[in-house]
Amino acid sequence: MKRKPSHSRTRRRPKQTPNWLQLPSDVTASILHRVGAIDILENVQKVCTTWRRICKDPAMWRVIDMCNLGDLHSIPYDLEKMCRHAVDRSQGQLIDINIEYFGTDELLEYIADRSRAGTKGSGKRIESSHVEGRAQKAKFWESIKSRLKPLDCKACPAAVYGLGYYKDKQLATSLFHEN
Amino acid sequence: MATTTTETKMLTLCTSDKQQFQIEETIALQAVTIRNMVEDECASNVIPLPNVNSKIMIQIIEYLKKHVDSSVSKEDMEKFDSAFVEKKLSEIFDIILAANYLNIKNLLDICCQRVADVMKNKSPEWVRRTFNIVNDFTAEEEAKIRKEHEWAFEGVDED
Repeated sequence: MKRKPSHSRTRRRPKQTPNWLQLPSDVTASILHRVGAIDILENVQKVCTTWRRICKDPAMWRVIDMCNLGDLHSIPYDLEKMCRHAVDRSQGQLIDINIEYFGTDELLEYIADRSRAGTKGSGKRIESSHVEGRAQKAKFWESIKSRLKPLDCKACPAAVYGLGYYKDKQLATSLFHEN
Repeated sequence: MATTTTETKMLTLCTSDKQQFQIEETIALQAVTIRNMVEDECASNVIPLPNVNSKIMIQIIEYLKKHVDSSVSKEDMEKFDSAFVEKKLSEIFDIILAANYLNIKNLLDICCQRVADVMKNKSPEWVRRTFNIVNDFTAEEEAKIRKEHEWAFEGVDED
């Protein structure tokens, strides 16, 4: 992270600096949530104990946006591991997740297993990493889809399309949005 | 409320510094707190708002006046909103407190978003400096957080 030494030279001394820790915690949570999951885990939760506590609340992780505008290859951490950590923090309360651009079979399974829908699911076993052939792949996605259904999982169409399971994005999208 | 007269109904708001603001009821009622007071008829002619000062009230009225106008296009409204939040963080802080108290959801949302945008991609130190927050972690707690970071690739500087 770049630091500007000139920063410390500014003589601006505001008469009254607001105490941000005095904000009601639901307002603070609303602010911190908007910073995004990656920044929360990397930076926001390290600021102070009050913010750390708010960032640990499962309610903060009902909607997880792992959107990152940077180049995925230049990010110095494993987004998938980070995402699993974020999903763990939701403690089954997850209702929406955005993992566009880095979703894998294993990650989707992990999410499906840990969402409330997953615990209620039919419990079918799927060998995700060894899916061979189109029919089986389709079966795999059907199964994932049924478990993820209550989630508004933006990642799914992109992942399905991106991993080449379906030729066109529209078809992949329709698969997840028919219900 | 049975009266549907063509005459514009006015409300008087009284801020913490005892300034009075006369505004159209339709504008004021966008604030849920004010709406509830009016509906419960616990408000007489003057509505006291002890948690909002006149400086902030002027800005909030500016916002509410714009948002009550249905002729403004969605695009223009977004432009207005993004210009509106171009303020110093200390001012945004006061507006957040007022919007929260008055229960004006969209105003609260755009202010929270503004603060969040400032924090994006910034180190904890930078955030502490900017928001005037003291690092109150113990050494043990800091170590615990570092340990949690199993997603970091090896050989990369922490900050």
